[in-house]
Amino acid sequence: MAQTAAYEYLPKPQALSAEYMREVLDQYYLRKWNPNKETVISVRSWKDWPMIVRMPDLQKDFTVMIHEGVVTGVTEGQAPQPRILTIMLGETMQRIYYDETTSAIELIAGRIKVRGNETERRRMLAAISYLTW
Amino acid sequence: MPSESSLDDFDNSGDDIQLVNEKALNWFDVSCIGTGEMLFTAGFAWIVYIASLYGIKWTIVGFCGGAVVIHCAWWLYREMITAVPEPGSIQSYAREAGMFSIGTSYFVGYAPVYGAFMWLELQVAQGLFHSLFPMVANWLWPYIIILPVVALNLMGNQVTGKVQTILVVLTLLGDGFAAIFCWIYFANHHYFAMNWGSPSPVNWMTPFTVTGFWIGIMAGILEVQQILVDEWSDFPKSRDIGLLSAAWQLWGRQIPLIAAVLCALPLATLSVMAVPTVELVRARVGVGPLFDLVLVSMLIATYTTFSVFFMAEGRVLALYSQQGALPRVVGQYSSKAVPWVAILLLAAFALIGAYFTNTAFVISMLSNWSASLYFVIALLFLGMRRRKTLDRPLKVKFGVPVAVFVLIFTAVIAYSIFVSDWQAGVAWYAAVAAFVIYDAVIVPRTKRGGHYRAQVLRQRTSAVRL
Repeated sequence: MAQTAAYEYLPKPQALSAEYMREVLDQYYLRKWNPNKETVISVRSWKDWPMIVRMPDLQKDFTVMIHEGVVTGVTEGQAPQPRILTIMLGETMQRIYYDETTSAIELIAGRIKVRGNETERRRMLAAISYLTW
Repeated sequence: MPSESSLDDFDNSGDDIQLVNEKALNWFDVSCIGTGEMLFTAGFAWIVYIASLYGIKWTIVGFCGGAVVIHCAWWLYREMITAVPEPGSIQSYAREAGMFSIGTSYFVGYAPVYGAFMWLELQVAQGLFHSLFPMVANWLWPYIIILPVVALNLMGNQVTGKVQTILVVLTLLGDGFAAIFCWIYFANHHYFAMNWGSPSPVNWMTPFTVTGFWIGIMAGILEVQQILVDEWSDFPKSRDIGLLSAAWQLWGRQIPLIAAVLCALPLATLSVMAVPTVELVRARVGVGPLFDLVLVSMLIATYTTFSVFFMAEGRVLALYSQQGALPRVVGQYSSKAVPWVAILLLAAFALIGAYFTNTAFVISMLSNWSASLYFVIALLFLGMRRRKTLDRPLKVKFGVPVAVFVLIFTAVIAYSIFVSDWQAGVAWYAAVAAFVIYDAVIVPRTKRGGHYRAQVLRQRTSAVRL
């Protein structure tokens, strides 16, 4: 996994905070999701669609805006009319960010739950699968 | 840390969030997915095969034994999925029970097992179409049947949960009408009495053997729905009613019609028919509205089973590739979010059935799978029950006695099926052993497989089980 880490990570904090996690998500989508052609193609039909990322251990929601497959921004809170809901622990996201694991592995292990329209959910699962390698 | 009041307001399950156009699966959809997966046209030929060996009386006894096993399995699944509500289903239960590779072999192994069911499906469909259109070369039929379904799946036009519900209701109606007609016009006491006794010698193993054959077409009815657990809209209702009613729906569709068929002609005549329901109607009243009805029901069933095979099992193969156990290319998804390489592999596997026509061997091997499946499920339940560190321990009433009963009952069934065709038994258990060795010894030693294994077996750290 080391070969994917050709950039500076955010320093690990003592305790997770909402702002730190927003930064982690922002960087993750910028560095891992957006440059991955297959991932972007999998959800390219999504035009300005909000995805909610819920983190029960932080008791926080984040909105990830996706336009034509590309993540355009991450904000704290819920945007109206969300299309996809992803539930995971902040701790899980932290491990994914620091390349200790991948989102596909965590999805298979059941530590990430994805809810949404059946077709769109399938697209999301396909998009995540490309984040394995 | 958040205050106590904000903890109460925050819904960890996310049920408070309304998603646009979600259409989550209700309990009836969950029920229909199970039935849709099991709408084997070959199922009718399978039951006639059982009856041709043991007669109607023992076929009924075997059905009752199979129904008992399915109800017990539901009771165990119900508790396991409550403790570990994950789409990994059997693999996840096995992880918690400390038997990861055994669970994986039965979870991923369902892809080739389902493929072998499709071999039977292909053979009966091929036989039927050849009798309807004898001018078309027989070797063409498997391709004519499979290729359009493969093409539809590759285009992303898969049978989804909601479409499945509609198709299942259509076949339920079709088979219901067909059953009423067959009872009124074809069934009679003469053939019932003639077919009642067993043509083969009967001994103490007979009820177990017949139960094993029955479980062959019952196993799978409770499993696929659990893979879709994240899409259930009402967990308790889907688990308590949706899961079990799938079995009752299947039986409601199969039993009245096949009972009428078994009382309509001698077993020797029925057993040479590719699709007894359709061919019985044609033999008795010729081509007409009733024939069209049963033919359409059969075509929907064939399409549904093949489509679910490609959609569900394609994802299982892709998943196993993501676990580092198969080449990366098998996990390749297309821009339509379809695991296209896995689907093509499955199509090639299904087409083998057109050339491997030893039906009795396939049925025996599949019966070995189904009998041992519930033995493994009982084992996983007991393994999970022993775990003291589960966030939500297994505590259902009668869980252990039911699991022990299933363990013993299915062990005897597995033994009786094994001795009925030891070569098929050896072939099955050798395949399982090879799979377990591959998964337990070889996969963890690969770079991707080792990394996956280390992460997936990591201890859960939170009470919300994420």
